[in-house]
Amino acid sequence: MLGVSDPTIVTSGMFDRFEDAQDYQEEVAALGNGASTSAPAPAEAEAEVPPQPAPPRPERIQAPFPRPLRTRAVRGRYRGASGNWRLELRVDVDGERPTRRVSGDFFSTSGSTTGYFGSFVVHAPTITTKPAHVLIEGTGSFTWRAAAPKIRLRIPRVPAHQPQRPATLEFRTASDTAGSAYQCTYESRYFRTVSYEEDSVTGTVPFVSYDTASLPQPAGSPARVLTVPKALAEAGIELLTTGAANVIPTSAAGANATWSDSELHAAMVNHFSRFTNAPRWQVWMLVAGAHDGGYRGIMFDYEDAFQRQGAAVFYDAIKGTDAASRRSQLRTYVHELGHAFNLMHSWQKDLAVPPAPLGPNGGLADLSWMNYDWKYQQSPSGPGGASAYWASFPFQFTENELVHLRHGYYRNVIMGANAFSSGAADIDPDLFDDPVQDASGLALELRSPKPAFAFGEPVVVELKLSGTELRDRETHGYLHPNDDLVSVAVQQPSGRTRLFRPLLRHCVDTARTVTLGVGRPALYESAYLGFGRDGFLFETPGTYRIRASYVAGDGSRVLSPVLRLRVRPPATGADEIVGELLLGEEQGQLLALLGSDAATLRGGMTAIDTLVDEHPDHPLAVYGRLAKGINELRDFKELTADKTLRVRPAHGAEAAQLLARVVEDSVADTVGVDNITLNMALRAKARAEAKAGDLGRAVDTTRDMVRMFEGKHLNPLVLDDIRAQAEATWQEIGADDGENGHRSSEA
Amino acid sequence: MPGRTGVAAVSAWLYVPAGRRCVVGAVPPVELRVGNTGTDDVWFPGVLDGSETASRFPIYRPAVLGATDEVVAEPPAPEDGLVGPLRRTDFHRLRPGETFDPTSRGRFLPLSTFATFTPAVPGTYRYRLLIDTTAEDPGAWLGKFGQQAYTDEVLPLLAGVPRVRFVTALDVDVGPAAPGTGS
Repeated sequence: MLGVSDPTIVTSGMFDRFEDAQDYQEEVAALGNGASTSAPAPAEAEAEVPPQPAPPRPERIQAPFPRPLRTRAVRGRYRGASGNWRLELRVDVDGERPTRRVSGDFFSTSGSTTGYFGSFVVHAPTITTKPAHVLIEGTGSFTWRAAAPKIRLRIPRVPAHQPQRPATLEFRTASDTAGSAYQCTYESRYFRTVSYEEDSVTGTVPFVSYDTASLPQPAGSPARVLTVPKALAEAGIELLTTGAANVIPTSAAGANATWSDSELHAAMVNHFSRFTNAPRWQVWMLVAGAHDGGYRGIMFDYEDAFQRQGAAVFYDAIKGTDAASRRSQLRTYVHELGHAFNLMHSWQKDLAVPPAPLGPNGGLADLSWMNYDWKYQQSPSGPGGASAYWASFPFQFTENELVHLRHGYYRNVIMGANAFSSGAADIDPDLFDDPVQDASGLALELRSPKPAFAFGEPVVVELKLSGTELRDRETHGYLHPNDDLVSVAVQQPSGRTRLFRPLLRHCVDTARTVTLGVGRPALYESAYLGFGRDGFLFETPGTYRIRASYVAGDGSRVLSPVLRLRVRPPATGADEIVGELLLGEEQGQLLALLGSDAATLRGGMTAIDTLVDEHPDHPLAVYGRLAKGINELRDFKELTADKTLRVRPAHGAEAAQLLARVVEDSVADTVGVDNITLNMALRAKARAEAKAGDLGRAVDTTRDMVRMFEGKHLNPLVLDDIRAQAEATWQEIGADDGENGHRSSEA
Repeated sequence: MPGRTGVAAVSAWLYVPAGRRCVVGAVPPVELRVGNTGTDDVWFPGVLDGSETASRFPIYRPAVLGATDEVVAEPPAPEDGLVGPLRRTDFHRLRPGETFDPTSRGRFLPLSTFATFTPAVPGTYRYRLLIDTTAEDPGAWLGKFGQQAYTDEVLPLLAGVPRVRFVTALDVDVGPAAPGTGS
């Protein structure tokens, strides 16, 4: 899918002119009454207007003097197409509880089939409200590497009694070159529409509605009658009740008359009239008698490849006709449906993949359908329990849950796609769940080797783990994110936060115990975060916020403060070319692997060759030489298609030459590679020189390494480590060389 | 991984920190510690998603009893069974003589029953807690979602958890509200 086509840079089939929108703007301007504003559009009453294929132009209003027009909210779902691409666009900048976001899903049509392609969200757009239109601009987060990630969306404002007119969405590249454009017709005030089928078991009575005025409720929560669809509608989700409400005989629950999850799944397969094992906007709810586990309800479809298609509530556990019972029933129905949309419990958000922020008090203070009333607690020592929950609960989802429901990537939300808890939300490093108490005796710090990175430059950070007490503290020495015991969250300039998932994970299967204290105050590690299993993390210029978490030997979780680092935009044309040469998918893998001969990465290696050959003096060429140099140092084994093991021997002289230039380009502190990588490069250079037969030069390199770092005025204990590394490298070289019978007598 | 060749024994106790008073209208500051009273290191899990409603192991099931032994606070029937994965970080390594708080915020879950119960009348309340780690079947411990990534790392730790089932209790005297508190 990736790299072959991109709906943000469609070049054929797009419309050229937005005549309707333009004309209309002029007409409304003629009615105009004021200057532009940069405030968000006010939340105005929305008139339900039946869809009309050709919306009429507004009639000119004969008014004795200008007066403000009451306009429709522009929020809702729009649909556009261009060439083979179909776009479902969601605009959420006004109306009820706006999250100030725009998102969309792309589908591609091939022949008579249409498939999902990818999604995007603009988390923090600039919203400008003018008399004639609302203009929304910003940079999106995409599920693929979009060539034109910036959007410019213009939506006409129309009088409240008229149907909404089409919106125009333009994509632009980072350097502001026009990408594709879509004209999107208004479809619905709802962001997503889901078919809802509710069946029941004989002897049960499905919930109908609850009047929120029946019992005391918080002052800000308006009195209204809530049904299950109405509760979802308030979140911007339309539940369309479909299919006949079947009544299922109790025999389907098995001999014991209570339901297991597998029995519920079987019932769904047999009775859900729209059941299919595929991603679909549809969900089945069963009102059953009782569950084997005594539960009030459950989203039981959490085990197979097409999850979250069905939920159940258990009448025996929730029945009752009094107001409190009906209120609880409503909560249980909506709660279980929330799980079908991939919403997790309030205190579980950090268990999602990637982890999401927990609300206050570890999520227990969330006033949400997804909290349990009895677990609710405002603060660790504050009031809590069911009575406190209901006294404050305004019958709604939290803001983050709304963002997920309305703007979560398609596969993360639609039933039958991503597994429950996978892709359930994003994370916020500032809310990365600080422990209330930290007695670990350890501190984790992230440091950037330079104040800012160039566009396309591989982002490497240094991790430092130190003891915080005078007494010795024992822990493990696995400090690299590849080792599974360190997690790193990166918040991108768009506001989206992603977990760094390394390309390769190392199994932690040996103790590697270290003692931090006076004798060894800290451990250091250098980690390349630029490219992982999800691609590039730092490809857009802007400010990034990074936070890491280390799980210590005793299970303590140690969090680093947030590190802010900047990626500069390209200053020259050469900077842009060089940056692009490093930002390819294969180049990312090669930088993470430090080179490879693999045929599948040949294109990336060619790009790196181009970088080194055609831009030899560019500051970023150092990374190309590093990857090439380390790769040349290896005896590279490749299993060919005919299962033959081919070994390309190491090229010591070439490796040494490339690494020598890496060292030369990194001597100053803020250019070239960071100190830890430089250390690694120096030792690799020594090994390369030894392989090339120049043992004397190799020994000199290890001595130069010590001198170079002594000149950088590092911590004496760190210098001791470097001296030991130099000694070990020399011994390694000597041993290798000794096998060939000419061990050096130096040093 | 600690072996189980030595004497593995744990105990648990509820307590009110010294100097803290329990009064009507406020949540009594009842805290919990689990200690290793054996001769060998053990791994012991804290309070997890589902522990309080006995939906999964480890079970930490609390109750508060009034003057006539009537239950005045306990967890309701479990809402649903979607408990999160069991992870390495859910276990605490206890050396002989060490103790830990299995409700430590930020790492484990609080016992909401104790953390939210607010006595309305003065008197003696019995705080009772059942701790049960006896399940040998890993299925009784593992989460309902997201578990696969952690299963290999937790199974060896599970083997090192002492299998115990016991009740610990504490009588808490709750006095009248302090003058001027309005309670």
